[in-house]
Amino acid sequence: MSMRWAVESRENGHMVRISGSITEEADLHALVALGQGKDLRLDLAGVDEINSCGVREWIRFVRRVSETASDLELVRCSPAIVRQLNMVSNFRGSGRVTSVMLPYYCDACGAEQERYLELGGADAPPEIQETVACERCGEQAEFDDLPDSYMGFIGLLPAGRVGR
Amino acid sequence: MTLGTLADATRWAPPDAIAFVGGESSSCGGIARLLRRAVGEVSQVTTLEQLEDVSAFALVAVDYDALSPEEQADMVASFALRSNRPTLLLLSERNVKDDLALLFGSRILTNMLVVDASGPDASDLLVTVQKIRHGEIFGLEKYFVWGVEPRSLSVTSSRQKGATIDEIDAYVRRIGVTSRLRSLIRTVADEFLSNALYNAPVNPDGSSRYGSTPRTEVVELSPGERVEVRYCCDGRRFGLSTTDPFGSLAPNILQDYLARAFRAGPDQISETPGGAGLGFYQILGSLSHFVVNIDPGRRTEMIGLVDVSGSFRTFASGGKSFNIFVTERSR
Repeated sequence: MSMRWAVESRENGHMVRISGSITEEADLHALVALGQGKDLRLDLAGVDEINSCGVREWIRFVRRVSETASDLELVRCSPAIVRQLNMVSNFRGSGRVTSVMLPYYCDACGAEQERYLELGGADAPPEIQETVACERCGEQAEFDDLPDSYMGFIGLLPAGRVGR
Repeated sequence: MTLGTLADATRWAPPDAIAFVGGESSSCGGIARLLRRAVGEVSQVTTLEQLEDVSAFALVAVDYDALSPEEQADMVASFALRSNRPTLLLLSERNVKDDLALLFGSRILTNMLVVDASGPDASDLLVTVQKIRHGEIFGLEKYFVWGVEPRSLSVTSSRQKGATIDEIDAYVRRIGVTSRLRSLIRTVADEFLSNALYNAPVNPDGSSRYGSTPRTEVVELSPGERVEVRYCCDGRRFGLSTTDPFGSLAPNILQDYLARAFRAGPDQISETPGGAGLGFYQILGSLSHFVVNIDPGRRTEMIGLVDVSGSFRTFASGGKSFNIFVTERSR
């Protein structure tokens, strides 16, 4: 599914909800203009896939937005986005990562679900709940990744770039 | 079948001889026994230096975890300096991600197999060793038991990329693979196809045909240059392969791309026209086992294997194996 986005104007800037796959076809130029002199908040919960050329397009985008926007905030980062935050240096540019989505998998019924996690400051490492109740069958759904690896990108961020 | 001694190792070694370098631990003993049972005579030593003439061996398997960091660095330096070196196979239980920039950068890393508490996967070990010894390197089937029948597709245009990925995705969805693992498989299919369509084609003089072409531009191959796509699953592992008829990928190019990506420095992403230089890195990160088979000037086959037996967490905790095989006549 190709990339889509929807813009919601706010007092000091814009909230942009991005979803789908970020690939070489992703056109992020229009979003650069939205950030000009304003706060730009990117909701990334709907991004399910990024390929190597998509990573390059994304980095070019955050680099330009970092220069022009007054503030760049990445919220509700999907597991696909978190994966790239952990693999690619400077994937967030000068943006602040303030929240992520945590994936859970229920072995009993095979259901997958995500939970929201707000990141505190650099001095308050976030705690991941190992299990949550499955929304489908009520059994225990397990966190579907390795906790240290999933949150590894926090150690890569300079202080002050993890939340406010 | 005997487990050779140090004296055996240094006295004489047949051209397909295998040496195993490991400590005195029970896990090392287990690996040595597995090798011996699977492939016959194996010369076992505890340090690389004890193999006086490593070039006498076709394969030197090393228990990477049994070496201290200093010994690991010495091994890299020692192998990197040899012009006529045997194939090196590293066996490791731990996550060696932090070492990969050095290992790929030295260009000595062509084979690494994950070892778990019960030792390496016997089938993967046997396939790796026999491919090195006998040179029959091609085929997705080698990684599956008899009876698994791969499905096949042919691709001659980048316009077919999306539909091909969707077809593979529909298959893995049907067999019940979780959405996070499906996303990895889509990424691998995308990168394999981009590589086969844009990076692999060369002109008669060997120059790259579409390497600098933006990936948003359509490229078309002739029917004789079609890319073969194959995929299958045995219930535990999903396998995907693409084969191009060019054989233009050089192992050192692959190693250099991976070394640069794992260094994660300012040059991690290529800003030159064409690909982003991250494809192999994304592929390795998305697979349990990445295999590249090259017959220079004739054929390149990329094989990706993903553990789909459980959740994403099962996959992520499983470690990564990696092989580059090049046909014997071109070594």
